[in-house]
Amino acid sequence: MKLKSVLTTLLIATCGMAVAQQEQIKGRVLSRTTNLPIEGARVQISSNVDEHIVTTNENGLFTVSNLYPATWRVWITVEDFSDYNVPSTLRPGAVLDLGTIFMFPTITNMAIMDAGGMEMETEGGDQTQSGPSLLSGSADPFTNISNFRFSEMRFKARGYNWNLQRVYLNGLHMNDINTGNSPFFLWGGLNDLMRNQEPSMGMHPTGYAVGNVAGTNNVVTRPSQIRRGFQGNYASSGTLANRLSIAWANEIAPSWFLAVAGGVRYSPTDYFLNYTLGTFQQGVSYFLGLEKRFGFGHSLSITGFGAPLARGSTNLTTQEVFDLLQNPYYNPNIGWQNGQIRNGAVRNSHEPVITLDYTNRISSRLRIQAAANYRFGRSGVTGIDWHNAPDPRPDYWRNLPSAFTERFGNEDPIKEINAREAWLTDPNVRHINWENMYNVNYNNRETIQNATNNGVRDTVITGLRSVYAAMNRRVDQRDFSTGITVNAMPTAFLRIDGGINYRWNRTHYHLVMHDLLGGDFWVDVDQFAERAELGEEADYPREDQIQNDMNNPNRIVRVGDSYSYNYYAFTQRGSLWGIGHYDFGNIGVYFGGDIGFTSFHREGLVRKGLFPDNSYGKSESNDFLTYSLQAGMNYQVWANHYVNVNVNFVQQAPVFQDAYLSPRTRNTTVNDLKPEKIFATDLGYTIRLDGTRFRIAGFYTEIYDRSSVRTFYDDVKRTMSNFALSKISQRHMGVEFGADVYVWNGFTVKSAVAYGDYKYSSNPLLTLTEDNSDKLLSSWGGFEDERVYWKGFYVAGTPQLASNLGIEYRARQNWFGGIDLNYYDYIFVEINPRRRTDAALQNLSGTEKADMLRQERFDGGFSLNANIGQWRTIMRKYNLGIMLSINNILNNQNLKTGGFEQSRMRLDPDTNQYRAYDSRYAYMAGTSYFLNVFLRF
Amino acid sequence: MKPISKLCLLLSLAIAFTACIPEFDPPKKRPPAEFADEQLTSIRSLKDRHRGEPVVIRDSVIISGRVISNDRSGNIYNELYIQDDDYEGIRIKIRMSNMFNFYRLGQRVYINCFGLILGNNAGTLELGTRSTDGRNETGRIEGIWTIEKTVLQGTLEDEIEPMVITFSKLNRNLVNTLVRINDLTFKPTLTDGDTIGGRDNVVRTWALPNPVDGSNPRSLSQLFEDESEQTIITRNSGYARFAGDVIPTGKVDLIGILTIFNNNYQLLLRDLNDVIIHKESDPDPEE
Repeated sequence: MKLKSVLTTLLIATCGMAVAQQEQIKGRVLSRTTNLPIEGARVQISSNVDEHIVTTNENGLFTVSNLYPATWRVWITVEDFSDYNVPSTLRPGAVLDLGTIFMFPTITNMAIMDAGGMEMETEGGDQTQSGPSLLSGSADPFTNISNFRFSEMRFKARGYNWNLQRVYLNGLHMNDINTGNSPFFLWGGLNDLMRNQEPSMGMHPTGYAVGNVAGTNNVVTRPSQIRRGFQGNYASSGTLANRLSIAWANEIAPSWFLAVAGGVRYSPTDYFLNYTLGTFQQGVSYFLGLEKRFGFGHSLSITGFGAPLARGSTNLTTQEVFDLLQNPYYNPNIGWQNGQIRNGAVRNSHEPVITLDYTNRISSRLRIQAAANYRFGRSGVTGIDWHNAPDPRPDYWRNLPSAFTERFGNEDPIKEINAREAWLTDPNVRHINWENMYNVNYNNRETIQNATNNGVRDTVITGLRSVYAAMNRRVDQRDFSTGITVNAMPTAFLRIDGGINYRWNRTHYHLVMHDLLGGDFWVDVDQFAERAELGEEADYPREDQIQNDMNNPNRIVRVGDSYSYNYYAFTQRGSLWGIGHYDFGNIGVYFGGDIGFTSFHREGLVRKGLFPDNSYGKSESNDFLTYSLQAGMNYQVWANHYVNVNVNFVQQAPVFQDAYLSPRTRNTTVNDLKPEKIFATDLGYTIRLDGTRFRIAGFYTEIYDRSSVRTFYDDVKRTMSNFALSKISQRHMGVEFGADVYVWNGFTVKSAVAYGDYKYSSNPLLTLTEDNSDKLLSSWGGFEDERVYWKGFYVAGTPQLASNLGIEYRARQNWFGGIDLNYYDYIFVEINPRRRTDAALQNLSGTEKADMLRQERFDGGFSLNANIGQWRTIMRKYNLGIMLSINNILNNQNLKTGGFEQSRMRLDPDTNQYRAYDSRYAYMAGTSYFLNVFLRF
Repeated sequence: MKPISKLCLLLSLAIAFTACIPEFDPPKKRPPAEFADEQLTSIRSLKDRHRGEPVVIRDSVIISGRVISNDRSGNIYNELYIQDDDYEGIRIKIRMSNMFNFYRLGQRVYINCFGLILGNNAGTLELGTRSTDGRNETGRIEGIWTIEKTVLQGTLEDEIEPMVITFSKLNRNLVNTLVRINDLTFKPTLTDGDTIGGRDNVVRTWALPNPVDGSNPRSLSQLFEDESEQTIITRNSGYARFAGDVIPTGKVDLIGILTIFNNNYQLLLRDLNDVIIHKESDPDPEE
């Protein structure tokens, strides 16, 4: 009811405002390199409600009339030129002449974006890296470089995790609801159709959402806004040997728009130009979109797309292994089977998205947009599972030469030499020995009494019982979101954007049997529980305690069956948001925020033997109030010079994965679960002149009351263990600088520097749990809410200094080239909180204590890149282009992109001191190439 | 067919074939190791080489036996016991968890002794590597690359039947072989430092998986006696799955590997199947 009256008021207000709109904006578009006018440049002039699109004539001129006084965004796009995207204020009764607008040709941006996107597909280790959210050039000289070039070092802007950068699809928040990861991979290979993006200017809010500390980006998939015609693209790089994508979009009937695309990607498992063996890729992508226009700014569109993919992954490993093999790109996940490389950790996913968008520009002052997104499908990573058998991983610490040194109390120089030689000569030692696992299964004939077979209990079954198997850690989501956005301009220079949205998600976490490796079946019992030293508390039979699924004891598992853990995570979110912008004279201010809720709970689908009362069925619901308040100002100091300041305060809920102590086994949440709070502010100075773009900004952010849960396999205790940290605080501050300066005769100098100081600002509390026990960690002597002394230590995950300096050249004959030099430093290892507790530091001498506490800082380093390319227009219709870039020309293979301290620790029984294991690292790839060929018409 | 439909069909076929995890053919089964009799040395003649101090085997010696130990229950750990047809047995020290997956009860195995050390551990002869801890005569064979050259897997055969003996038959020649002693009763003697009702608590479980003082699981030597009050120790690990189980109080027959520690004979159980409870006995523990 209330909504109706608000809308009515706005309508009346806008009608009342519809007086003589003789205001105009005009200008002339020229190419910088040729100084000739550009015909057919697309000029889009938009407010938060309206957009007008015209094209330049043969003299490069354009005029847009029927505007009204407001701040309009002037966005000029020409294929293969950098976008011109600038706000311009139109005064009442005025004609704004923008004069001569120079456009600067570039293919490199797009190609480098694609390269950056492709590189991000390769992740290291347990930590999944999702890609950058930004896949199109923006007006910001800093983000142009930081989002693409810096991705070679897994750079994260301002040190934030990916979950702080919000990606929207048609105005609806699309980040993964359980982890916060960027959804970029959902449309991998469909980049050409996802170029219609609306990135925010940093923390500044947009027309589709409130501002966010790490920025937002909206991908719009309306077919009418996709480039018309045919686009074909072939790309190749070291990590992805072949990627082909084809797209076509057009108006197929009056007011009907169709966009369709398909793609294929394939990279063999032993591609000779791939530094990391075994990281194959194979997949397709598809896209279909249909839109019906009912009038100006009134349309309904439906789009569906997907990108099924199977991809072999690699893992971080210790320096000892890198040094031993003289290979910084060793992959511990592979082995040879019948002469072929088989990867034991294959990422596999097919998660299509269907999205519906309805936009209605009710008047020149009011627009409403509604959307609904549905994401579904399955995703997983394979892995090797074993039951009461030796650990098959090749870089298991006991398998390494260092196992025979004094560090582990087992010093034997001869054994160390034997180990070293075995690693260097026998591929079955340094890689997974698949043949061995099959043979163990071949010899394991067993009879299982009281088995549950095909749903029937108390059956007897005889056959080859697998003790080694390949499983698939599946995460299957159903994610539905919907929302309405209202954009209004009630008076000149007053703009109001707001909306309401709702999101529902059910994620199914389960282990699925993938390959029995020569056996006939697997039995679903908990090997850790079989070994546990259960005390007098156990008042029910051991036979029941070891079950993963008490309702189906000793369940016989075959390929395709779920086993081990099996649960749903349900999450719901809703919010109401609104931002008001007011422009007066040289100053624009905004104020607003949002308020909403997040609610999640777990539902166990099996009753776990060790936690019979706390694992099956629904957990309590965890409900959080979420809100944000933000304000800011944009001040035009004098022509082309702007100062902006933003302040943002956010309270948001923790994600599901950070809330449960051991979600695979039980419903228990982290103690005293609190919402996370963020306070952020930044101050920036921008210059936008003819041929020069310059920005410098400083930022300060405090995050507090964060919780985090991390799981790892403790092979000392031989069980899955979990760290739960609470009351984490972080302080991020730093400076960003970006410049893009046209110097002379086709040469442009570009630079970007990000210098930050990202630290933990409190000592959080640590609780350590095991999957196979309710005890809060045995031999540590009480590991609940143990204080972690890591205040002042660095937040890892990005170089805290990233800098770039480059030169680009565009020749008259459509040749282009560029070279850039980057320097990265202040890269820190991700620390293990356990090492900084009183328990871990006890009985250590002065130097030993210092070693245990110290956070390793990696060496900084340079990377040098260059690219060259050409494009041409054939028969006035076909655009053909080719670009080749060579990265890391200096072949720097000593630059660590990241690393982490291992979570498990060892207690030396003789000295009662704790010992840490070696950290694990990943290195930047050596000299590599990226080739891109495109055809458009 | 309209071009769109053709495209859809093609795409669905493409999706069906790609984005699937690659499949692999299973490898062939490995043939078991086999040696002719002439190539083998008897366990007896190998053991005879030990004359009071550890012996390094510097010639090509291959012994053969069948597996009588099983580390699945955790009572046996990092040790392999084999016994040949002449009732001679020997222990081999190997660092491998869950080695029962590779060396199954009854399976014939061949030990390539070249480079190994034959040592005496408080009366029990064993094969291992050079010791580096200054306490034992031998160390553990470790590293899969060494183990698979040293212990060769032969054919799977039936489990060995234990030799039934009485206390009078106990002698050092039977050490490292599988024996069975009938008609024994548990004699509780050990305390765990805890007190109940003012009296010391007698331990009635096989070992101490959760000692009262919070220390690591502890092994126990529990006593069993026959009607003439002759006793034998069962040496049980605190890490065994059955460590916390209550020992039956009635008459039992025990199967186990006979070992000796200094001058005391010990039985090493593989798992609780080695404890055969007489039907007439009262299974409930008395208070």
